[in-house]
Amino acid sequence: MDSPLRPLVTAVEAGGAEPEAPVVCSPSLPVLQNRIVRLDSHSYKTTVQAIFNSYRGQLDRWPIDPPLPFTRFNSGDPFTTFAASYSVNEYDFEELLVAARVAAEAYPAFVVSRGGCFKTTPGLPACQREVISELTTKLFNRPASELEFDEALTSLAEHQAAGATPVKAMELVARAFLLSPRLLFRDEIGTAEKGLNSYQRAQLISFGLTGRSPDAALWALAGKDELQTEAVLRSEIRRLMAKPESLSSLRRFFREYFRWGQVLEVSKDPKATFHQPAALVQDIELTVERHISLHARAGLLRAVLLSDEVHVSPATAKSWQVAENSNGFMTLAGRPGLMTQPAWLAGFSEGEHNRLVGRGRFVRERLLCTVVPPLPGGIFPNIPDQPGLTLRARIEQQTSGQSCAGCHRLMNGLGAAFEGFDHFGRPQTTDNGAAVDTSSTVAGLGGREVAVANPTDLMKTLSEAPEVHDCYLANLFAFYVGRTATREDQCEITRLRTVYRESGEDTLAAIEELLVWQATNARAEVTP
Amino acid sequence: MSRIDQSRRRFLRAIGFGAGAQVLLPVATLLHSRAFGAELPRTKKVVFISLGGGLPDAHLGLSLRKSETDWGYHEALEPLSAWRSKTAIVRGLHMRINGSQHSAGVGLLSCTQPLDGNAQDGCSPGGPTIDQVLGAKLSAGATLSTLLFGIDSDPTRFVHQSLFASGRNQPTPYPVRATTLFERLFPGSSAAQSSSADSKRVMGRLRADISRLRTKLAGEERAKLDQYLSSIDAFDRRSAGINTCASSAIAVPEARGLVAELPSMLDMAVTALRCGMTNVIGCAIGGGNSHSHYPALIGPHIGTRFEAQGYIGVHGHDAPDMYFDGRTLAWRWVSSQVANFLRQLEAPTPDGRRLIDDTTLVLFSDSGPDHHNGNSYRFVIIGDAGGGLRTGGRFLNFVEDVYWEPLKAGSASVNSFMTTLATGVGVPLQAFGDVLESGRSSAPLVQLLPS
Repeated sequence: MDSPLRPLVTAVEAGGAEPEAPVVCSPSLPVLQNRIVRLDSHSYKTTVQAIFNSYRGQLDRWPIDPPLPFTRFNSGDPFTTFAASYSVNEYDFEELLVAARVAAEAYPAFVVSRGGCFKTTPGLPACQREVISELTTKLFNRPASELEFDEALTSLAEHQAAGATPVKAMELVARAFLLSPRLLFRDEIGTAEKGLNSYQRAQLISFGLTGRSPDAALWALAGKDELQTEAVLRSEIRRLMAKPESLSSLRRFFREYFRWGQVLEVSKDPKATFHQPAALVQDIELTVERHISLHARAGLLRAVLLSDEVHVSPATAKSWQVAENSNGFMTLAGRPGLMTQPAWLAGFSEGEHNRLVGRGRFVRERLLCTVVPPLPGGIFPNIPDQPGLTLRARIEQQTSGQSCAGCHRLMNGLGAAFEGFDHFGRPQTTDNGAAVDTSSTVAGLGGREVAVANPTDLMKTLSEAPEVHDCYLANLFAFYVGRTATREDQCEITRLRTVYRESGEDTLAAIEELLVWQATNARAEVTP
Repeated sequence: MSRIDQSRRRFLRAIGFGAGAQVLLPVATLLHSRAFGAELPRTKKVVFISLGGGLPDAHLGLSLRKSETDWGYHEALEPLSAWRSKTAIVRGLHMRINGSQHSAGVGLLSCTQPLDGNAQDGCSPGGPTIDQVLGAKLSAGATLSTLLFGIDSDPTRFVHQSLFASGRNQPTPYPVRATTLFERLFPGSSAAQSSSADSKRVMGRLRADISRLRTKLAGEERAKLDQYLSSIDAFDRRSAGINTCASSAIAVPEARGLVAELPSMLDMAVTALRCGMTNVIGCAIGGGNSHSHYPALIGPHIGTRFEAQGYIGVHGHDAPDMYFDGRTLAWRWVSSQVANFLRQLEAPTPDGRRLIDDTTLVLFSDSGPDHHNGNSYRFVIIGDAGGGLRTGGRFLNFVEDVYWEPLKAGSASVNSFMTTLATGVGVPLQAFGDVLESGRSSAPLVQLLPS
């Protein structure tokens, strides 16, 4: 049974074996639908902050501190970028109202400080147009249309006619802008001829890579319509990727892909003061940042799965079982990849023991893009406490029966390789009084069974498995497109795979392809 | 999540809606004539109440069932026996939702597969849930199309989303604190800011803005804007409806937890029904993955085998006897609360009628029969929707399908249950949802409709 990510991989592999008609690949074929992409909390905040950057230089915080909208996600979605498909529910709207009110109340002060046109003299059209232009530019990331000018000016007049002061009228206009769907939803409404326009392209690559509005250079190119040229578009993407380690989207991708943040939610014995979840998260994030800086252009996934270079801080030294004054990057044999870091191991554990099956399931589902069927009803998967038997032995006892083994063979072997670590992520050689055995057989890798002796062996096996790389690409697609791939995306997936392989597993090249594809692909215009 | 939820509280304060939890907070007492149905036709009312963790056969009373009409109550549901003549138990309904290990999530009430992710963990819904479909019709013109709430295990959470959805990709959040629900229903007297002339002009512009963008889109993309418009409308209705509802005092507890908060929330739901604020209620107790969301039952555990442990949990991975004993106590306590709720609906209104005569309550578990979901669901219906449903003290036991085997004769789908319920309460549906095996019908179950 495949996960939502897997079918596109298998479909591509299957080629003509698919029962449906084969997909015809043509660069000019519109496969993407027009859509609107709802901002997430971070993007909303940075965009709104931008209106306060106009007059007094950079402002790195809200003028005051309202609640931010859009912080809720469907927790079952694989990535938070799936917020692209969300709307504005009642709770979002209530929070949005407050955020808009607070920002709008602060906004006229900036305008007034600039020249006071709204403060003293009602009806200075040139000044008003300038302010409206500024708002549109900053909030909608494109110039205002004449219609927008007209409407905003009419609105100003209406508010003043109703008794509002010029300043109050400006505030109310700003509030409407701050609630506008043109701010809340980034528009990807293109045409069959050209795909997206330059401003839309600038937004797509900027929000996609940095989570922020386009910078000055991108804005200038969009203004000259130069982003219609693919070479310029690629050049800009590469400029934004120049320091990959500071690429917030890629760090966020790995954080959500591997889910180490779970460690912050697992309750451990409070007496175990050496266990510092926040510091462990910092360790793993610094490690990822380093991997990105060193390997983003070649073999990043392999590094993430295999590299034994880790970051250790004094607060986490005991979890790593290294000298207490350790601080910084070091090589730790026997700690291959992110999934042998204490943050991940403790995150994928219970309060008092490992989650052997859960770890195996994670690898099966997230790294191999295969879904394990749910446990049938009426089953009580409790693991009896039997002295002298390791957790693994007890799980194997419980799951070796015919009715369990079919699914558990997909998980147990993968999870067992991590049993050389305890539920805090420390190395262990015994468990429950018995010697730990990390050797296992991993089923279903390339249709075969593979024997592995330990986590290093497992990680090496996984890092070399083509299906793991295909699954990685499927996840990159889901993250950077904000949705799961469908059959219509097969051509792009095939191309993505080719680029990735031929470039020597260049993750940034894969991301560049995904962004260029979204920006340039002809949009299927749907008649409303 | 906690930060968001705190934000919501700050929002409510910012616009002057309520001051937070207080004991015995009095509700404004402006009586509203609509409240007692004097002016409006008697609209059917539907109440959904789910308890996570499973409703096992034993607790449903399967072993006591000799025939459709000869059956008995297990002690878990015994507090509901006073309404036996208005009850129908429906067992054996089939549906297979992806990723429904510990809950079918929004998949259950929408009968749609989740778009992505796992149903149990709060996926993107594949379609609207039945409560929303019914709410759109039955609550037309009311302040709230549906009143949704629940209880969650996370003490820092104010709002959760796991069981209800207004449409494809649009889960519907609901408050999981009594104080939050109270603020939502009875926001206090200062709605001036949101209903001021200034705000109305801003909202007018905003609506025009949304409508213009809407014309450029179709399908799901347009639906996003439709939902945005709906959210604004709902907010406006709530603002306009402030203080038009009557109530005696409602106890809003400071304490958190199932025992402290659920009774208060159910009281508010009764008030909302009596006042005509809505005609559809949804209550999710521990909705979604029960490992993450199932609230501890503290109080009823005293004097039981759970006393040493200090609470009754879901116990799904403990020994079977722990699980079943825990289920018995949990369902019995919840049934008692439901009984209190029903008794309040039995009180006569000024026109001499009783709300219960127009109300259908549906009790179920979002994880079906067990802690780990199978493919069989069951519902306890109380109330015949004024004759729209044929309940009559019956226990309908459909032939259970197994998802890896061919469909069996005499089996039925959850989809059919939903169309039956909708039809019975006056919203005729012939089809609902997309989770349906080939050859399976979602047409209403004739066994539950008047002949």
